Amino acid sequence: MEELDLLKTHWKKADHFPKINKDEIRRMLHKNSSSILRWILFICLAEFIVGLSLKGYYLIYETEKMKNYDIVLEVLGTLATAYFLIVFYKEYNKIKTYTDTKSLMKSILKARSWVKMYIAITMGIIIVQWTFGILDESVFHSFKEGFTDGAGAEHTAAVSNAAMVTIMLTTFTIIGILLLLYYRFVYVRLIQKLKKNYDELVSLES
Amino acid sequence: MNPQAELYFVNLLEENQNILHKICRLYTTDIDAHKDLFQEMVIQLWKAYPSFKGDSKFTTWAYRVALNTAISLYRVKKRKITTVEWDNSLQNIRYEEYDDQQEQQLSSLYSAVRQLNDIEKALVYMYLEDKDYAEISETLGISEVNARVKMNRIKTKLKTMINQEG
Repeated sequence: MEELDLLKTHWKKADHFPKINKDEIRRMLHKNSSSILRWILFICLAEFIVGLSLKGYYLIYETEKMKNYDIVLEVLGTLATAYFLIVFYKEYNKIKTYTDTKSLMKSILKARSWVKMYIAITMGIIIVQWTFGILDESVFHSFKEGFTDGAGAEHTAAVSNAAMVTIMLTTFTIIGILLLLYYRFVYVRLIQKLKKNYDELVSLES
Repeated sequence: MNPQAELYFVNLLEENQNILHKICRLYTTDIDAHKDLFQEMVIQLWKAYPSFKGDSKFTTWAYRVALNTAISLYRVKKRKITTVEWDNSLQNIRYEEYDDQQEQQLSSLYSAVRQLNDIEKALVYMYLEDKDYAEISETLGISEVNARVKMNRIKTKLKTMINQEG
């Protein structure tokens, strides 16, 4: 292509850049990176800390109110968090800027996907716990009352059931919307460019 | 890392800084973003420096880390104040040796390249730097055949863009 060759000859002469001296370069070496990798690390660590703090809080202050299955779920959840944290750390350490572009992007997305999985599992555990808790304390209790106390109480139980289900669904919907918003603003914006470039490279190979 | 290594690295980078400037020119549109990306590339190169074994050329290694930073790691900051945009037509270059028509062509070419996506820019960059397809494919992590096919597509795309403009 004639045009691109014209550009090439011009490109090679294009060396009139502002010269950065050694002192400036040395100062730059010790500045903090503002790369998406650093942001991903901070966001992921923040997510782990929030997860662990919630579990810690429940295990320390709410143990008395807990049923056996709650404690089992909390302990499992904490172990899962620790496991995910270790795996994330290992995957994060595998991210090397001197590998080829495709591998680099793949390793960043992989490290991030572990945290995504962690969030999904944590949310899953919370939803199961709440569902069990609500069913256990209110609905079943009301049902029992309904059967023993006669027609009036049965009516109350039905109202109570409907109210509980509505509250549960509303809460889950609100949490779902909040999570979606969070991912849209924090995660998608951060990773969008990387994902687009990765897809472009993958599409070249298909 | 010891001060000697730091000194050596700073010297190498100062000598080869145009590699980074040229990447910045392709991937940024204003002076502040150019400085930001330059700094980020320096940070990433320094972080990765322990991995540089010296068995390959410093420039080959630096190309890879710097391009990876521009494509995968650099986060464009939103600026409230519009900063000075690069002058596409001039690029700080002497134009005396080019006639009017070539000058026009060059200006259109530079602005067309700027409109390509990040991966396409990387291919064009390495092509302009006279890298062979083996190195291009190794840097991007795609096969040599696909690198060649993509480069041909980019050439056609640029041609179409320039013709549309003209």
